Amino acid sequence: MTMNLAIEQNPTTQPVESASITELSSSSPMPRMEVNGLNFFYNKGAEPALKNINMPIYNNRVTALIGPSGCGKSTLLRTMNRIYDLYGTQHAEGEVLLDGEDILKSNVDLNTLRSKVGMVFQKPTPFPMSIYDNITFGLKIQGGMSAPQMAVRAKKALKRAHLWKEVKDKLDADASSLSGGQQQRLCIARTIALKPEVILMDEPTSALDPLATAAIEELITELREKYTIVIVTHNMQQAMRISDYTGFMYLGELIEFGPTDKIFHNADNQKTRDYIAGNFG
Amino acid sequence: MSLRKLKNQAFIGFCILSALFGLVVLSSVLYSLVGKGIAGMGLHIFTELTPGPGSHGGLKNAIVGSLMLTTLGIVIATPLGILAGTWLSESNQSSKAAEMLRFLNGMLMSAPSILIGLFVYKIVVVTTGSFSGWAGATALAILALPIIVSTTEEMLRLVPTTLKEAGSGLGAPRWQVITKLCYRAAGPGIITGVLLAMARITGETAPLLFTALNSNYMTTDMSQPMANLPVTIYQYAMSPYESWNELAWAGALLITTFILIINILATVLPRWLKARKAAK
Repeated sequence: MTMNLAIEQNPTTQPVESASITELSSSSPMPRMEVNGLNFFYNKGAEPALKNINMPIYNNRVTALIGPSGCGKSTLLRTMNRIYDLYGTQHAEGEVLLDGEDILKSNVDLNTLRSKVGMVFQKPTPFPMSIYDNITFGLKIQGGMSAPQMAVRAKKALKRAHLWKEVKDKLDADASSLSGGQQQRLCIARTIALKPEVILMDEPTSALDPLATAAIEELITELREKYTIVIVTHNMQQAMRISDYTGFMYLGELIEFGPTDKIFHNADNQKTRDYIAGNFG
Repeated sequence: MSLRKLKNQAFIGFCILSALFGLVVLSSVLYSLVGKGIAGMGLHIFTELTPGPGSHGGLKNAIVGSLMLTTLGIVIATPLGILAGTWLSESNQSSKAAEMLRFLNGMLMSAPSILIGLFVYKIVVVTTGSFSGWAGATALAILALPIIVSTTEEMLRLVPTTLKEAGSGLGAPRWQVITKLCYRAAGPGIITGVLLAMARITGETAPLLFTALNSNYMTTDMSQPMANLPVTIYQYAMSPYESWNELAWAGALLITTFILIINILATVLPRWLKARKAAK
């Protein structure tokens, strides 16, 4: 039984409690985040862009969100650190739990939340400052670290993002002087430097060439050991290569969620199978 | 030749003629300005005070006064303009208050400068009971303000939203995203705006007539009427004395050169800043 079937059969049941998820959970790590009955609206009174989304995000696993353009995968990702909050008209209903706490509540400190749930964007977004200052930007805002401590943390983050060798002699150079792939690894390093729990990635390789993409994918696979990763991707092969779990979204709904292998080779839902087969999207 | 080609060439021909017309007017103004201005130029312009009627002298007090008035005007207008522009671009942009401010700012930008002069005359000169450098600087600041407001807003709007989201995504509160990221990204453009505003107010005469007035003395006391180049040029050019006329030309050349330098700076400085950053 897939999740969406569970919803259809018994709409009042939270799918996290449904048989299919329990089944998954027995062989999976604990969920780090849980999305429960999430609806999302871009404008007050508008049609919801996300409809009753329910899914777990497992600890130290890569979860991929796939689906055709406009299906809501980026929107879903953007609720997980409440970055949508920058725009006054957008709002979410339901629950998004991080370590059991609902981050959609109005009293949540967004700056703390965002240092726990980092985000890497589609286009590399180096800040207009030096490579080193890019890495320490978030640390300085968090405060409480001495300069030498920050230097150690920055070096570690750059090493983990496989960028250290390339930039160690030019940490003072402007970040925009790096290549696109290097810039994206810098953005990942900048996020890791804050020691987040979860890293959200919104099509992080769609602006990169194949070699740079391969480097980022390898990095994601390694990062999985320490972090929980949610990645939105247009590229189904990429989802297959790097993710442990996959959610297929269509028209604002989560059609099917499960282990990547199952979604790609043995999906329960016809729509999922059609999308994977390339029949639409 | 086909009709289509003919129309095309006629159109391009008119464009070239219009451009030439503008160029001819501009260059003849510059030609007479340089010709007559250079004749009166000399070291004495910078070392001697403005003379009495019919006698010889320089423009030292007017130059110092103009520099002080312009600088102070810009110093007042820049922080106000940048903050207002920031509010317009970063707050709820379609709110009634923002629309209203944008509209008023547009009006202020195209308001005749003599009106600004009269306004400051009424508010400052009448209240304090004397013409003063402060009043002059205030008038110039009001003239520079709308230019800085609108360039700041435009430049900040050009900052990609992804940059702001990336900053917020690292846990930076909004004010730090604006001050540490947006200002950096928009910095060169904002500097250009401030310099262009400076170029604009440097040559303003009308607002100073009612505020700083003029003076034949060397003073750096902003509470006194202050000598300045535009009003001096205005007075001297209208006078029947040849020595005054000559000084007016020299002053006009001086001011034009100064504005030219600021304009060049406004284009070169941002580029230079970027290049220096990239070279590091």
